Amino acid sequence: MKTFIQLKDGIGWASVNTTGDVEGAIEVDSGSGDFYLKKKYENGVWSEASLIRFAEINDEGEIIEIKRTYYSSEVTGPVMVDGVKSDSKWVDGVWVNSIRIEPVVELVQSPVLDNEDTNVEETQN
Amino acid sequence: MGIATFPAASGGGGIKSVQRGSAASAGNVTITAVDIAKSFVTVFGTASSGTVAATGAVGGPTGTTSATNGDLLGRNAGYNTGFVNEGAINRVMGSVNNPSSNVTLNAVNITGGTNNLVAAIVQGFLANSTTLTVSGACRYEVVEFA
Repeated sequence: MKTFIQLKDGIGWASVNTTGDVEGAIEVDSGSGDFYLKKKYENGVWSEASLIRFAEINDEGEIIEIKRTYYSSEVTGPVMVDGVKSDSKWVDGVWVNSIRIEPVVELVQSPVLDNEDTNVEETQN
Repeated sequence: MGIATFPAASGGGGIKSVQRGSAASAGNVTITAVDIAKSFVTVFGTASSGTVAATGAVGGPTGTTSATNGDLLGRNAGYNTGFVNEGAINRVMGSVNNPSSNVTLNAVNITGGTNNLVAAIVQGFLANSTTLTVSGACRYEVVEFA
């Protein structure tokens, strides 16, 4: 029995255990197929693949669901990036964060003292 | 009321080949060519769908917070008297005198929802002699008879 790995978007997507051959797939050690699923294949080297987080949005650009995949062809919405919050909107191809109005903290100071402790030398002509 | 006649057994041999494997998501799996008229597919979904509700409590710390008593030093802006520029002068602008205060966060319960995470229904079929189409993450087996 041979084991072949089929790639999707350069990442292991399906494994086949067969006595024959699978065209266009990469042969690996027999029975080891599951290990290579969701692994990145580049120049003969397997490595960990990055998980892509993307959003499903409504007509107003609001996030209605966040999904994850290893395969770029399965990304069907704008990719989530650092700083995007659940109430962010996708507007004209960019993420726009909502504006939050923070409470104003008012500092109360003691009145400034007059010129005590100052040693002013006045000059008279 | 039994079955009067049974269909005659057709000729043919046993299992010619078995192919097993896994798919990470929906799509077409390329397999070694089989005769689809003499093959069947078994698919076992490994994907899940739905949500899991959480029930529990979130606890908060209980303790005290305090500020150091003392003077608050400030610096008034320099100004020009017309004759002498005084420059900046350090002054005592006020004081800090915050008594200790208790900080208590009550535990908050998390409730709601239902536990309805279920195995997603995944199906598969042979689109042609070398293509197995699956509708989601699964393990599959293609059995071809002689």
